[in-house]
Amino acid sequence: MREFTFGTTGNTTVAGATTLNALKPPAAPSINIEYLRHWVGQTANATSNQQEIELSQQAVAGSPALTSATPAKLKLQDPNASTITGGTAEAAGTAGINASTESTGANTVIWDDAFNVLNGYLKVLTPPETEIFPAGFANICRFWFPVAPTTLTSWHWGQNFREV
Amino acid sequence: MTAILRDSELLRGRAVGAVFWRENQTENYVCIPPALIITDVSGGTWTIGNEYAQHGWQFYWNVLRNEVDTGELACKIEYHKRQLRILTRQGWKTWTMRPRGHKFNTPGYFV
Repeated sequence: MREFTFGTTGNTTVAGATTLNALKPPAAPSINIEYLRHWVGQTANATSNQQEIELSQQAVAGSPALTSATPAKLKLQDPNASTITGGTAEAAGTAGINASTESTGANTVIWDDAFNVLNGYLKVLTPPETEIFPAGFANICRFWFPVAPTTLTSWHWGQNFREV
Repeated sequence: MTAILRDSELLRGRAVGAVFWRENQTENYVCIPPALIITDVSGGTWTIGNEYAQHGWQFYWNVLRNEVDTGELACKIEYHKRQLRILTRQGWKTWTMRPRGHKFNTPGYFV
């Protein structure tokens, strides 16, 4: 099993209703992406309020722009890096965070949830619940804020996935 | 945008590689998951890690306090009336702070 994680590496400011993590599986034939865990939290906040969070699949259209994010190994003894590399344009086989320009493609919700920003959000998936994005899939896996948070600063988020 | 003053009165802890600052401890009945963190009255920030044991369909993850593994596995962490509890395979356990000056160098333990 090969498990990896990607997300923020420090306090991050979001623009508003923002794609936090975007990953597009590589072209087939290749590995499939199985998501194991999603989380988001705010390190500095004095005000309790509710925030919406969503996982969806989205077509890549327009000129999306993200910060490149290279997945990190969870198994440090693994001699090989992830098949997924960092990328800024939601290309196949790449991952990026904190979109500055969103894709204009159709968005299809997988699940939608809400959380209090003082407690953060953690979704750990049992085996029957894991989301699998297969190699060659046309859309990105989008972990995002559908609504702008009240406070835009000091966010942290991430996802763990497995290459299967 | 609401600013937060980083003074000595704030509760400070660590989780998921970041420092979390809070004015107050976590409210009653907050549970991990689905919460990401719980802040206790002394500022300890609790979460679950990536290690787990599976028993049937139930998963028990390692319990972290300020990114230090407590040595316990639990399926949930709950905060209620200033007490932090974890649900382990042996049942509920409550975190107890050690008296100041105790010989062990960890701040507390589960009973």
